[in-house]
Amino acid sequence: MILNNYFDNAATSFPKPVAVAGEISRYLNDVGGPYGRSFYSRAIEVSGTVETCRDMLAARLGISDAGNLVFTANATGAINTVLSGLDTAGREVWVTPMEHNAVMRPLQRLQDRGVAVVKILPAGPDGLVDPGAVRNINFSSAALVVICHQSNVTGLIQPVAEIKRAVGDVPLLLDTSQSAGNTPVNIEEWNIDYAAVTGHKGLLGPTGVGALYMKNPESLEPMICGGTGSRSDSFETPSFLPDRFEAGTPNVAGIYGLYGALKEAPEPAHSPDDILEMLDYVSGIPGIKVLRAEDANRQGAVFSIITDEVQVSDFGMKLYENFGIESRIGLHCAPLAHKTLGTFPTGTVRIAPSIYHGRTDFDRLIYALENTAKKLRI
Amino acid sequence: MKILVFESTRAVIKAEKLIRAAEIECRIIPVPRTVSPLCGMAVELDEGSLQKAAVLLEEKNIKTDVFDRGEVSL
Repeated sequence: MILNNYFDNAATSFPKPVAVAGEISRYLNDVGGPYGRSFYSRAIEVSGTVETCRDMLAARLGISDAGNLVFTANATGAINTVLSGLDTAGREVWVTPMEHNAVMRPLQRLQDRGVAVVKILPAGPDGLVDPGAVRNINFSSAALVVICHQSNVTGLIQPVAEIKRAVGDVPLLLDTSQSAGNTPVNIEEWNIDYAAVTGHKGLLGPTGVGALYMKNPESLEPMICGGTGSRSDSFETPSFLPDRFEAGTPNVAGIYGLYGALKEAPEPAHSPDDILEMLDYVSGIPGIKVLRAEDANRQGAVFSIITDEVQVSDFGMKLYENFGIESRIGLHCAPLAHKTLGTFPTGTVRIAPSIYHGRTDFDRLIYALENTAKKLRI
Repeated sequence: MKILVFESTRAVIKAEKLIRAAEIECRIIPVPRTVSPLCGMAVELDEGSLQKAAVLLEEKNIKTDVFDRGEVSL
């Protein structure tokens, strides 16, 4: 049996379904040609696959009209499209205390320019937003609420539907970077206004392809303008989707890869209970503190650890040197989350399993954590 | 023959799939230059199939402009 020691799936997932490389190769070696813009069979096949991928991705995310889903390079591109395209002048943008810099950096820029004021939603010590407290906030000056669905540091899953109900008519941007493919995402059922998606993490696609969902696309100005193969007689950007938000040649090879991932999505090799059981065991290892959701029902398949007496960098290095465990060390581009958790600026060792990990892999991980802690005399 | 022109590539692909699924013969052609400055695809079908196709497209809210082949030079 080949053990899977790669536990950095919150950065990017590995392995991928075989069809991912297969579809990319098929596009690059056999099919070729553009998306739209031409009439021959090659172009029709490419355009058909891109649209099938869009339909499959929409279905996976609980979106009935795939026409409201546009391809982007990644979730960061989708988030920037919303934050730069929405009128936030002089208004508030509310965020969870667990946001990634994909949200915080564009917001900081807006704040520095005097275009928006960033506010933090009320939450518990693990960053879980309190919908009851949210209901008491005066959102009259709010332009947007941003929710990191699943923390990339602790795996905490926010109560999205309850938060949306609590914020009422204020538009909500859901960052599904860590959740899509790992935990259910129901965009329309939760009445989400915007959703940012990346293809290369839980959805198991290649890097360089993501998506943005917009319930009301007319509420946003596109971040990028250019050729779309439509209305080519005009300098005006088309008003219709997806063209309005898909200027320039898309990452067709990447979309083929995502199509492969979606059509051959594997069944999980572990259950949520397997994750919780592992977390409970690791929490009992002397000298190791696990950073996780306080409510087990809000735990996803990512968690962090810190150690009492050694730097997380040393711990992570020993995990790799002695046991081959590939983890991520540091702040994980989420300084706000670490300030919330009290782990700023030293950070954590992050363990991010994938859908392919089974109990045997978890047993091996536990053995490695236990023995590393022991050897470092924690 | 009739030429159906759509606003986006997605609309052309959805329309062709829908029309073919209803066993209506059609083919994708370049948008005739006399019809539109679009640089993409249009759908061509028999005049007798137009009504059935138009109903299908309307049901799916796919907007199209219809032209007679006689109006265009192919």
